[in-house]
Amino acid sequence: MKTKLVQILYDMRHQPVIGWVTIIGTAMAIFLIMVVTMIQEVAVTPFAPESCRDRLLVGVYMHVAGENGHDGSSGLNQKTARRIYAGLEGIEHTSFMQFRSEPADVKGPTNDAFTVQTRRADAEFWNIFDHELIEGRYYTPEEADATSKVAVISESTARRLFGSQNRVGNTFMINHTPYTVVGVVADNSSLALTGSGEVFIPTGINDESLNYDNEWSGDVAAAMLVKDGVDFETIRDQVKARYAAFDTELSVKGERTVYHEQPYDQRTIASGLHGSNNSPDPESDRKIRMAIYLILLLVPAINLSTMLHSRMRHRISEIGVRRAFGCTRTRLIADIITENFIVTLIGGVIGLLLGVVFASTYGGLYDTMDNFGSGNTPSLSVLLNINTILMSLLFCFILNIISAAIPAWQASRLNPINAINARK
Amino acid sequence: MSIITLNGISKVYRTKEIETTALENVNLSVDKGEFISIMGPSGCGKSTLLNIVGLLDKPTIGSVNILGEDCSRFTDNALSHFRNANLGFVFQSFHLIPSLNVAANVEMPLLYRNGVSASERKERVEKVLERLEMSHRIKHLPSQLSGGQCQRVAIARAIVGQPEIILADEPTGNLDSKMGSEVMELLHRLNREDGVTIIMVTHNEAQARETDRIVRFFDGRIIS
Repeated sequence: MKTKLVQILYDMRHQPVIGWVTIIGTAMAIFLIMVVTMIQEVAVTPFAPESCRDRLLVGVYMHVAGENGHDGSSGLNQKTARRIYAGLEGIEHTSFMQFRSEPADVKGPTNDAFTVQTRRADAEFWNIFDHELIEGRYYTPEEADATSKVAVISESTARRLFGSQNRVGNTFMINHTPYTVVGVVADNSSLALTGSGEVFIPTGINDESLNYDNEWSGDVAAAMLVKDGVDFETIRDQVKARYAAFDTELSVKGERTVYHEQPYDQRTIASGLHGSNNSPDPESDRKIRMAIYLILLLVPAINLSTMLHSRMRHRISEIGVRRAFGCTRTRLIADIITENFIVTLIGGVIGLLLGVVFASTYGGLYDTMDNFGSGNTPSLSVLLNINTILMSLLFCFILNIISAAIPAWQASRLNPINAINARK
Repeated sequence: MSIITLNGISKVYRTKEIETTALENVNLSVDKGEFISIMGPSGCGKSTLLNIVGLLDKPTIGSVNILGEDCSRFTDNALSHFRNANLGFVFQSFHLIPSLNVAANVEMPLLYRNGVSASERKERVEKVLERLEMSHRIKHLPSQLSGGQCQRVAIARAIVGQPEIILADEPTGNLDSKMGSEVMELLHRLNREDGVTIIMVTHNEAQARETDRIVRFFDGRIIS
């Protein structure tokens, strides 16, 4: 090992450009793979306010197709959402709420209006999503059912609206309608797609504002916290049965529901919902992801392979001498791959450090891009979890094998005499 | 007792356009402990013969028997192990590994031998360097040594594995006469004290005359 390190240092001194390009190239490749993995992981790893992700199911859309060619889909209205998702066996809590937060202008007593992300949800929402209460209380089921003009707001929104004093009980405007603050919760990241928000407003069965029509469509989704140990498929089976029951009513109009394997788990939501008319396609998402990994792997691998090839060209004579003194082809290949692995690992560690720096700022960047700007980002341990690190190490290893295999094999096939005389 | 026997060795290099005969029906026996010189004009096949005896190249026709083994049938792996155990090489241009210091260069053949511990390797390297009066340069890189010192290190590398045979391809070719004499003296000492068999390719008639036997080559054939 010491000899290999000496060799690497020697190469770095004598071929600095090749050496540094190799290390920086590896570092960038590892960094990129970490970023991709981080983006994947942050979408599925539990963190507040979505600490429940492992047990979370969300019914988002309904798709209705008619014999006359009519084909439509949207979220559900209050009544249909409850009809499909309320009281399912194996569910601990069900919240009827907006699946996506929506922007709205808010204005406090003294400041100018500014835009925040609002989310309407019933009181069960607080039993599913763990928003840390800083001040006051969450709104109650009664307030939700009555669609009371109260709100729970995030810490930074409260500060912008009222400063740091007298927030609970104070009134502010949402799109020119007055709301009273009943609670202040910790800032949260929009990376928590289903549970995040800056202003939470109660909604209930009587809230007509989320109904598009009286038949079935609206802007209501159902978030469900599944009991420990309950198989998601048993929930889906119940939902499917309810869809079938709903179909008997729709059939009068020549319509039927198209069941898209709802409700979705966090992994499906993370892979992206491709429109309300389509079933999520985790398989094609997986393929796309693999293609991205492959590109991220092959491009630097080809680059590193060329670099290693170039380094080897300077060591042809050495290879011949080693072969003359008894180094077998297998041993030579192993030595070259090990040496390259050390270089790759050095690059990998640099890439990992870049990844840590990125992880510590990434949440903030993401929030800024998404106009949250709350600053309360997922912790470093969420972004840089064991999967990300293992993925990087695995990537390092594969990158090394791919990039070193051909040059090592070529070196092992050199005729010793030609090699000693530095002829290829 | 013959330690090396070459029977009917021919070596033909073929390209698309041309066929070149480097060796033609060469028969040669070398006794254990013998120090022989191979002489002849450039391109006559001396180095080709040395490469074949060194199992770095295979003859087109003929058999190579070393230490009682028919090496013509060896696999590549077996050849590597055989070379490591029984053969030492000294090159005209030394061919030390520039990134490694003297100790690591000398140690190299032992890395490819099974069952030699790190401490044993260290001990053997120190011993051989002491014998060749190179202990004071043990940490130096090849670039910090003179030509003569480089060749001493190369000889140390060749003998550290205690091979039966040393193959030296113009070992003094890149040295001035004083250093050349020192290297020759060293080779004679190894031959005398350890009974190592040495085959040396040289252009230097005086040095050749000091060896036990001179084999002269011309156009791929032994002429005397």
